[in-house]
Amino acid sequence: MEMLQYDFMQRALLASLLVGLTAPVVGIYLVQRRLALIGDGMGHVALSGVAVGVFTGTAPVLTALVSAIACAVAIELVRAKGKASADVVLAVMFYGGIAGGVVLIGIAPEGTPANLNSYLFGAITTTTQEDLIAFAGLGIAVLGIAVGLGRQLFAASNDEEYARASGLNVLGMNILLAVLTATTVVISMRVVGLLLISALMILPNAVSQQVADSFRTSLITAITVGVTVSVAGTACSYYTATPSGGTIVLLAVAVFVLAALASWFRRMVHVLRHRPAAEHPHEHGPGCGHPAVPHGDHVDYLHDGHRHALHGDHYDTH
Amino acid sequence: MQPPPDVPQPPGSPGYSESPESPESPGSPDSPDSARAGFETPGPRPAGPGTGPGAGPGDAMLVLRGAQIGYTQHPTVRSADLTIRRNEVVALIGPNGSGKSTLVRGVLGLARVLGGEVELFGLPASRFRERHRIGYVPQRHTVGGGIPSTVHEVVCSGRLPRRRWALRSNREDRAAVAAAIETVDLTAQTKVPVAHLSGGQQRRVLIARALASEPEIMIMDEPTAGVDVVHAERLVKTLSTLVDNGLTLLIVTHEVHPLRNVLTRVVGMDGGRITLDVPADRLLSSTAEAAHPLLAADAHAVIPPTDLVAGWMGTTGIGG
Repeated sequence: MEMLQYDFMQRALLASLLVGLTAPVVGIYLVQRRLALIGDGMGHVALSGVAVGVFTGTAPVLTALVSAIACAVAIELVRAKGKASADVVLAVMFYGGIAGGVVLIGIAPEGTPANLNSYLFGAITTTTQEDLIAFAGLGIAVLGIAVGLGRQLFAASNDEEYARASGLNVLGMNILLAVLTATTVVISMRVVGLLLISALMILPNAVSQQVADSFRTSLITAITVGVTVSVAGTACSYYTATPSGGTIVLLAVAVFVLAALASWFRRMVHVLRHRPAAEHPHEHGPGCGHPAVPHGDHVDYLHDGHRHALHGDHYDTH
Repeated sequence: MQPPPDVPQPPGSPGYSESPESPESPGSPDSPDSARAGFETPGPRPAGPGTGPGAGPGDAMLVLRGAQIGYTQHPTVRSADLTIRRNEVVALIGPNGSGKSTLVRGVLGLARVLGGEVELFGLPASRFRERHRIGYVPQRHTVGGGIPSTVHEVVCSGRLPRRRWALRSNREDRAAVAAAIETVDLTAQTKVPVAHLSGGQQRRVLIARALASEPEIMIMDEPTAGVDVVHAERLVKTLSTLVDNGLTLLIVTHEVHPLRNVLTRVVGMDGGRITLDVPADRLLSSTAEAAHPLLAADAHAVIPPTDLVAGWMGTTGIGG
């Protein structure tokens, strides 16, 4: 492997591995809550933060982090206490963030919009030792929270109302998730860029949605896809001399299209082999009087010489 | 972050003693997990002792005294007085906008108690932490979010009120979840994604999730709305099994008729106030009707409950 001879490529591959591992874990709860675009909104706000950093001469990553986290908390509070719905709050973030960034860069003395390019689109080959430490810290924090509070995050994102009735601090969970999202966006922006980081949070989970059958397998699938596309995309960009962020996201989109096609094909095969039973008012179950026969992942019931398997609201003949 | 849920609380306020069982004893006779399996005991449920408004005052699970409940400063429910005791099966009926959902949401902490008192198991609602003692089945036709989740995973989230800070399920959790899934007869679908289930099955998943915390009272919001006759009968069969195992039920509903065999009491609301509170068996008898002015429409005929309720709604000017 020729590229491994270079320190910058070693760091780049390690960075993409860490980001590919972390981003889908945050993203799965966003997709579960049907807030897939919120990472993108935070990216736009972080852009304003970067511009503030450039404008005032302080570290752009720090100002971006502060603005994204402040925005994350504000969104959850507005959603919980105010009248605005999630999609409207998102729209405000998109417009406000991008406009603030452009205006601030415009009036910055030595600043030109070109300064934003490395933040917008990422430059993984410029990853430094310090960046790697930040990625590792983020990865440990995100995975630790996902393991430690996984049950609560699942409950709060699966059914907010039920979680509240269970006595769970749903607002706290939502703010935690929003802060995690903001932190992931800002820390990962050097790798894939502000405009593409949310793709790395969401696309691996979009693949899971197509192929997985449970939350657990979804998480495993998403992490696998995330790590694979970001490492492969970085390696690929070395040989093709293409921007790393775009290459990673294009790979993720390709995996998603393949998964969607595979899922569609699987459904078509299923439909072709699908033989629903005739009008069937009787409901099979343990002790229903029909012998139960385990059949792969389900149970068939012997009924008039053939086997019936429950399928949604009717029975199939197997 | 909230404090851990299972902080022991001092005994209840005057007049309402705490229930005799410690909420933490897993094998208490009232926890409905002991003999849940099977549906072998369906059929009409005779209104036994301890039912109806006349039962003894000792086992009050839920008490509202002049409760004002709403979402803004303006209460939707006004001065509601209601006591639900152990082993009651209460239907809370009323036209749309009468405040019945708001009332139960106030009990669950989803709406604000603006005045009066709401007591849960002898404690003011604001100090009540043992949320696992109350099971909640929301009015919803589907379960789950954007990521595929299995029946098992969704029902597992019902264990949260019991063991909030646990990292993983222990044996007790797994047993309770399996029993809850068995009760609603979805054992064969345990590993199936909820999105693949029919609407009726998804509702049973929601019931199983509420049962997973091994509650003493279960609050259900419109469990039969939009459910066909066959599935409504199944649901009632499940409910009567639960009632036989000692679960107390408060059911918000439009339709008393499908539930007639399990109900012990019917509470009616109109315009944010409780305007009807009768034992369910009185709805089925001909003689007692005259005792209640709202039900006196036709005292000489045995009226099916739905007609009675329709009549009551007629008298309140809403129309059934």
